[in-house]
Amino acid sequence: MMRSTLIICEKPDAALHIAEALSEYGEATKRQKHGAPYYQIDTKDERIVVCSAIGHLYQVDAKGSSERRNYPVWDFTWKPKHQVERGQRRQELWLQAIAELSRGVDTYINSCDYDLEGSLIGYMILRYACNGADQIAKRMKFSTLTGRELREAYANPMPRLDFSLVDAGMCRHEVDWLYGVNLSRALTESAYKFSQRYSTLSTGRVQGPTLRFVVEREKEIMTFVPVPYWTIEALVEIDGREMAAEYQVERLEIKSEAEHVVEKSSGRTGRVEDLESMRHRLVPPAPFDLSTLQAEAYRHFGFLPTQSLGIAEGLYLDALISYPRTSSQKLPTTIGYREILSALSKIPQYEKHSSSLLSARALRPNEGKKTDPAHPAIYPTGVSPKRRLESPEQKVFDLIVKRFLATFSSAAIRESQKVTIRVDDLRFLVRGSRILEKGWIELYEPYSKLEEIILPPISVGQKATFKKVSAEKKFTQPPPRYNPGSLLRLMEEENIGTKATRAEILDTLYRRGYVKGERIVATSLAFKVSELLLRYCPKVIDVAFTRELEGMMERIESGLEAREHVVFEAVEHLKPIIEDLKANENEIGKELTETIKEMKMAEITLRTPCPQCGSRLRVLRSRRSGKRFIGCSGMWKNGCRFGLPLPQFGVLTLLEKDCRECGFQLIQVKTKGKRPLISCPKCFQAKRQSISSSRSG
Amino acid sequence: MMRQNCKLCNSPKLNDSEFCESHHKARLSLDEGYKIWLKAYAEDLTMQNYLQEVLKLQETGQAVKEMASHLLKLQSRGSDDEVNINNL
Repeated sequence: MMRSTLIICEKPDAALHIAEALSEYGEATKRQKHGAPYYQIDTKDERIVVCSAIGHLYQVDAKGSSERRNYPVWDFTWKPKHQVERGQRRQELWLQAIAELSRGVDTYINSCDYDLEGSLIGYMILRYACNGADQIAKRMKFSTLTGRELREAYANPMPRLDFSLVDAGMCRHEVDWLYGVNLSRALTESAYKFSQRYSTLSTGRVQGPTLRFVVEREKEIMTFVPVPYWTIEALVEIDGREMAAEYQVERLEIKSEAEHVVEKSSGRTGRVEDLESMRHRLVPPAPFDLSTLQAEAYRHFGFLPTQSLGIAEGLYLDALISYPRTSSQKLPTTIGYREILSALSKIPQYEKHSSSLLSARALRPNEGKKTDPAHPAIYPTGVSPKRRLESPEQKVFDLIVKRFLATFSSAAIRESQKVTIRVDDLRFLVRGSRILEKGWIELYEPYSKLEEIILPPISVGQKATFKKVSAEKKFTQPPPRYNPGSLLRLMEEENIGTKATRAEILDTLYRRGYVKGERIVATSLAFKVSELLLRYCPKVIDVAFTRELEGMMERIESGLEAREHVVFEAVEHLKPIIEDLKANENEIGKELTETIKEMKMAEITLRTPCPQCGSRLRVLRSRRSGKRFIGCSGMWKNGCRFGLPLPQFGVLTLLEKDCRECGFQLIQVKTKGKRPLISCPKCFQAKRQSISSSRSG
Repeated sequence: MMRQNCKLCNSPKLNDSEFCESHHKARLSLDEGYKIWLKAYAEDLTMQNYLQEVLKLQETGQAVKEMASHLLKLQSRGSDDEVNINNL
């Protein structure tokens, strides 16, 4: 009788690639069961069935049927996702299909992505949908979806599942669920019990400390007092050529000192006292791990971390790049440097640099320090895109390819020059720089550029005339707001969250209304939640504890810690916190409700005052017609009837900008599938009135 | 227990201050800042001018602006707090 093997992948695209790779052994046919696609490959002596999950099909939930608003909840279990969340019919059918395909199978292989999530997805399906097959299943390990690597992984699977990764994955989900459910319900319920209005509030093991970073930064900005300082800028002429010079002291903190320097040097002629030049070796960048890719994609294209991750995953599923959820900056020789470069040299835009690297005798990438036991750094597979990539995909792909090429290139050499000019006891500096060897910079363009300031030949003793000297008054700047890239980097430095979850946490902060803007601004709700957590349960937003817990969970991966112990510790830590929150429900609810009310009021209150009575203008809804409009809050006090019409459809936002024509606050309306409409309600009404009067006239 | 609020906003005030954490810190930052501004302008700067200048700058934090306005108002009213301002 023919042997049969069931391969379980994480996503349908991955299943397709595996089926294509294994079709070398026999004909592959695509089939469907309950709407779930799968592939059947019949070889001489084996039937291989390749099916896939669609992400997580199981998730943690309260044991038994618990009321969703109750807390605390300590007893949990793993359930099929369709039993926990609404609208998961597709997931239910998918599970049914896998269960039917698993009947009578001899060999099971978990072929999901090789990381915590992939190991867990495969394990849950094998354990619960395949009748306990987790105990006999094998594990395929690969970092790219290229045919060669997939066939190798299939021919040499790991003999059993990676249970330490499974345990670490389970533990992370269980601990996050315990924290998320209990803390979020405590906040939401406190606000609900006080106001009888429902607002989704949340916090969690990683969310709390991350929110605190943003709030603390906002506090620094809010309480920042700028102080003055002066910089001296000069224009000097040496041998008939003018060039910019700066005073030897970068910042002068006393006005009179700055004035003294200007007075003593203006119109004077000094001499070149010293010439200095230095060579700097700029080593190539390390290959991308996920967070550096996300930071670089944000810097160059403004892509949010979740967006870059989504694009990179799409490129991985197209077999164009290696697995992107990696924290490694290492490129092992086993990935086949020459094969990849040869393949890249067939893509016209990379031909020149790939070929020049191939002509080198030895290829050695400049690796970074970070490692990942499961995957190498992100690299291009050398496969040419089979379809026309969308613009964002093309950008990320280009960035990854050029970064890969740059890591193999030589260092760049930059020469910096410093000319010291002396006039009396004052010294000024003229700085120049030039690139002697472009090295990797040429391969990484346009993502890396070095400005050059070429100085003419200058010698010691030459005359230098000060044509213009001025003191510029400046002020110290507040610390910059985080952007998504820098906040992700901070989370990584502080070791909170994982490469796979950090971007999601950031998204949640935006969704909950805790932060806004690309330069991340903490809202008043963020301040309130952070303040309440600090007052009633400081340990929840304590970075040190979160880091400690991360460490414990990482030790599970290496088999040095038991999952049960970590979950027990987490519950023991959480219990007194939740008790405290419960005891203070009323006060917490009151403060949260007030902040939510204020925030909602701020969202509908315009900055521009009423032009008729000076009261506040608000976005209101007519009780009679249900239509929204801008009305004056003075109506109840002084009977002011000022009003402006508003668009009736789409999401309305009051912008920070004012109209150039009349100075009234601008509004934005976003309607699905259309470009956002920015308009001035006052100018709109004036235009409407002039049209209607010209018609009637 | 009645929790008292900050003089300038609705947030709970600190135990040993009339202000919330942000406004209290803003007040301290203003005090520190004044010392640096005085040195920069060689003592040729009154507290009132300092506060007015700080209010104009876009780099100034929101809580500092609120505190500076509050202090200027107190000073113009000739409140008891004026003594404190001038003694900074």
